[in-house]
Amino acid sequence: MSASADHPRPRPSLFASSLRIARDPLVLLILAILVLGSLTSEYYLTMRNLETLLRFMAVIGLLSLGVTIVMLTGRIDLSVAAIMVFSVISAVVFTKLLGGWIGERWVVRGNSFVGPASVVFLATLVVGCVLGLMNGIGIAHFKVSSFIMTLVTLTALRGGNYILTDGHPYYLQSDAFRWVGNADFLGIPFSFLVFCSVLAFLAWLMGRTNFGRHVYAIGGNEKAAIYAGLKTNRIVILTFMISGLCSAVAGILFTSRLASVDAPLASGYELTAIAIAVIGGTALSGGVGSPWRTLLAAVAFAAGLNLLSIWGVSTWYQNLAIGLTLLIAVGLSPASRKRLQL
Amino acid sequence: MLSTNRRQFLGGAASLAVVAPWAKVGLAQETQGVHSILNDLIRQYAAAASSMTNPSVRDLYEQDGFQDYLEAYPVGDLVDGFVWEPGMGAEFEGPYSNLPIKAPFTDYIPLDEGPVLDPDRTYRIGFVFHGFNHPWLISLADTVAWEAARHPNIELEVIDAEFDDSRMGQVIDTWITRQFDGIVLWPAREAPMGPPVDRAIEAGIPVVSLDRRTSSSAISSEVLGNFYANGLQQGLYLKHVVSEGNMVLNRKDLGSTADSIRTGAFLQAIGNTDGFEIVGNYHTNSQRSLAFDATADALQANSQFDISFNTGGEEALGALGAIEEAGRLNSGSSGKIIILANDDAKEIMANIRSGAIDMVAPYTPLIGDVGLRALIRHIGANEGRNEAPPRLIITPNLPMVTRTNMTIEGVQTLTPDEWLYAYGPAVE
Amino acid sequence: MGLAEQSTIQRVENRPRLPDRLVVGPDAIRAAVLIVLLAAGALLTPGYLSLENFRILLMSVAAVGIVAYGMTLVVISGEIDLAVAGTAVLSAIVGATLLDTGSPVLVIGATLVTGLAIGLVNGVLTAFVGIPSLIVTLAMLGISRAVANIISRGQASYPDSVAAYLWFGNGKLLGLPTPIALLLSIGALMVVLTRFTTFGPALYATGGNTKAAVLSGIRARSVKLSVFMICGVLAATGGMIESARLSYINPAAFAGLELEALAITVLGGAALAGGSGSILGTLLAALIIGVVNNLLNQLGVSLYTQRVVTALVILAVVLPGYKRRQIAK
Repeated sequence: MSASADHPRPRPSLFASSLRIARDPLVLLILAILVLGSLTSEYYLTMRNLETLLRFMAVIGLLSLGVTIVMLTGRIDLSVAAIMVFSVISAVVFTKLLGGWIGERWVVRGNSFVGPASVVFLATLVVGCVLGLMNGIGIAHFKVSSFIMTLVTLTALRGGNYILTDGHPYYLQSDAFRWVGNADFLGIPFSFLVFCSVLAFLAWLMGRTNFGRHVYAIGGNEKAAIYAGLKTNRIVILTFMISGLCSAVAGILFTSRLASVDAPLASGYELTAIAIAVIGGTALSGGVGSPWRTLLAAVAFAAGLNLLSIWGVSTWYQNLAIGLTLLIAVGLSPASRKRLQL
Repeated sequence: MLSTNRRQFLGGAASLAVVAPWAKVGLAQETQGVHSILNDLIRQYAAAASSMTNPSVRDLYEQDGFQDYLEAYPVGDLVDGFVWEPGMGAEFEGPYSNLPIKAPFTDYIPLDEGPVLDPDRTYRIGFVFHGFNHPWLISLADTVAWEAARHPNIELEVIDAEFDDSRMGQVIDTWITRQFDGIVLWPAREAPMGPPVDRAIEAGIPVVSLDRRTSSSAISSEVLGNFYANGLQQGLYLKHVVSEGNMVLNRKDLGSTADSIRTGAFLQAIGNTDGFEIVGNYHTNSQRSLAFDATADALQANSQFDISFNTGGEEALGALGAIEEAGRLNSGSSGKIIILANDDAKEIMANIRSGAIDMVAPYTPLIGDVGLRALIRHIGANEGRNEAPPRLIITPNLPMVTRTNMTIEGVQTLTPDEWLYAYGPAVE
Repeated sequence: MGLAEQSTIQRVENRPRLPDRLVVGPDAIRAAVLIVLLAAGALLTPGYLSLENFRILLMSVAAVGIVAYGMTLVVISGEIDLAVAGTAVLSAIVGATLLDTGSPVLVIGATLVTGLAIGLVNGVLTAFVGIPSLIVTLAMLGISRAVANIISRGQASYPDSVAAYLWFGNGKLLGLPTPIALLLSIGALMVVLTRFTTFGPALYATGGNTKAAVLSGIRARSVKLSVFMICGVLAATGGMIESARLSYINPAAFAGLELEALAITVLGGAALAGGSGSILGTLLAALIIGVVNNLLNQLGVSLYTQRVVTALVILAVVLPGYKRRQIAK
């Protein structure tokens, strides 16, 4: 549990860290997938396919980033996918009520939302933050185990989605949503750029600030962190708020792409997000992992899935392949193997 | 063609009055017009929905907003004046299930065996759906694959998106990248599938949806099932056999088309019979074990439990399990708890034969072939070879199946032995 | 995991410590919540405390409760088993392929052996190869579901021809319906295993502090392997009970079983960090979840509101313990 206590986090230079990343087995895996893809399909490395890949990666990557930050403290967040959908639904409902209050009808017949997208975006982020705050308070202050607390949040929000929508979808078809869902710059989807900015920010936060060092310290040895005078509660709450915020951002990108939001969307994404974080080497016991490695894992996962899809592999065999690859990839990579010291 | 003339004659709002006197002539004649008989009943009960007298039914009808869904659900005539009668269709072995299949609508929008369109070209077509482990959905895939296999120059790729809408969108995007010639899909939910379908249409790829709809307004064609006739017939049967009783509803996912149209139509049919009271209303989301538990609890909470309405087959079988476990199948005001089901799985048919389930409204999955043929016509239309089929492709309304033949408001029911199209693995 | 969980470990390691006996124990809290819920049921619906309702209640949690026992052992050992749903499905499907033989020994045997084998693979990869159990079992969940689909071609089968199989769902054992009898007797067996054999202390020690356990001569790897195998067999048993009860072996069944079983396990007092948890707590937790669903169904509360209420009840069970946890800190 405290294996990482003997690994104080040095601050590597940017050069050193990029050198380390280049030697990473995940990088080799990604290269292998890309080479295999380009050799076996003329479509794999087309602009259009890469766009599809990057868009998917942005959403699942944001969820995994949030989970990674929480896992670094030795806790877990099962509620990321539920928060992703709930934050958008509640933001739309809130904006609808707000519209009613100022005498505007912002949800028209057919459940199309025609109100200001900016209000929805802002409200989504606020809800994501608040839900993360609630998770954090329950876990840090009331000492509820993070697994139970976020499972409770997951269950409640999945139910809440239906209560707020009565099972109807909301259509999000204004220009702003369409732009967020479809825009690209020089072939790079907007959603991927958002993901990159969040990644850059989190990498800076975790690698270059006191906050980041404190997060690793808590995950490495929580008791020592408390004795060292760290305000662990506050830091833990902040990590859950970051995760909530990541989910909310992912929610905006995800629902804009689908031009709608619907209660049962993205069920089960939480396990994918956790799997990606763990493939990236994030330890369940805390203290080990980084946003960069989560990025690599997300790229490897998305690129691999996309390749199977390009090959037209039937889903049964696709799931078999994913499961086996997961086992082999993690099994062969000494970094992500847990050292059972016997 | 006698049947075509008859079909035209029957068309129109007044046909009910015309059909009724003939209703006892013989099986073939009676069922010939079943599509329009049911359409007329649908219109009749839809019109009466605004003045429901049963407060318990009316409250639920209004609370869940069924009216909006029902008004938007297309009810209409078949393409090219097609008339369906029981017995039609082709027999084959399902390419995925390896089970014997008789598909009812293989003569609808017909297409000869052999190469299609340009015989020197291979047409690559994608079929994406969810649920390669659900009997209904495998049967749907079976019919798509069967039709594809009849045409040597069609290459079909079948993908299961496992109930992840975003993944279905990505599959479609992948096919756009790979410049497929056409796409057939079974969308689980309307809203999220609109944008990917629009992207495919924009890329010049025709798209046909099966059974459920998408939110795309540009989609080439939609092959629709007969949800409306399902729910309506459950209500017609119920009020034909009893006029009162406490009922429990096991419904599908709130907001799904299957739930809103079937349950809504059922409520429309019984809304003016005052003796029915809804004492339980559950969403058991097509899961047999959830329906089992909900029904067990409802039996416990209601010493008077007379009717079990189920929006699907899984629900009905779960409800039956709980009722049998409680030893209460032969209880209730009519001497047996009445169980109403949908989906003509062989397992359901076995329970109709034994008398455990009282009626089932068939909802056949065997419509994938219709979708693929419509898609090929769309591709042909793009190549300037033929005319495009209409946007809405209604499939024939199917008559309910009961243990013995009955005539209910002009609808001649069929027995399990007369219903040749049941799907899924056989049950002794 | 975090400190919250660490404190529970210490508590279990020093089980007979006096101050613990003075504070209300968590199992007492769970039992109290259960009694309050039952009392509420008695007030709100007629006949709630009837034998028939207890039968319904216990039948509804029997399968998931048995799966949760296995999960509890795995969690005590410091690992996690996300594959239980896949294990239940694949074992049931493998059993189903032998239905045509009509031999109950073959069908039931194949079901249980498949569960055991999946547990064995999970255990070896976790304890001996050293891949985190979360990854092993998440991968195994996907693999076993995929294999189940490939074997069954996605089709359900009906075990009606094998009466002994159906007995697991509809029969009687010791005068009780079989699922209930199994829930209680397997529970008793697991209590004996964890409290009255040498395996118990070895299990808690392995989960509490693997290094210390090994130093004191406990074969931690074998302990972990055994709990995965037990969990595999129990997942197969739970799957068989549910399939027999519905007379329906369905490759699409048991969606979300892993989170359900984990929720019961953690609600029962097990910490994911390992070293703590109890079978009795798990049984009480399963009953709490069962009563909540049963009561809300009888009150006609919608599935969606039920989810919210279930979540709040879990919190209500977990929150009162927080003072204790702060004292421990």
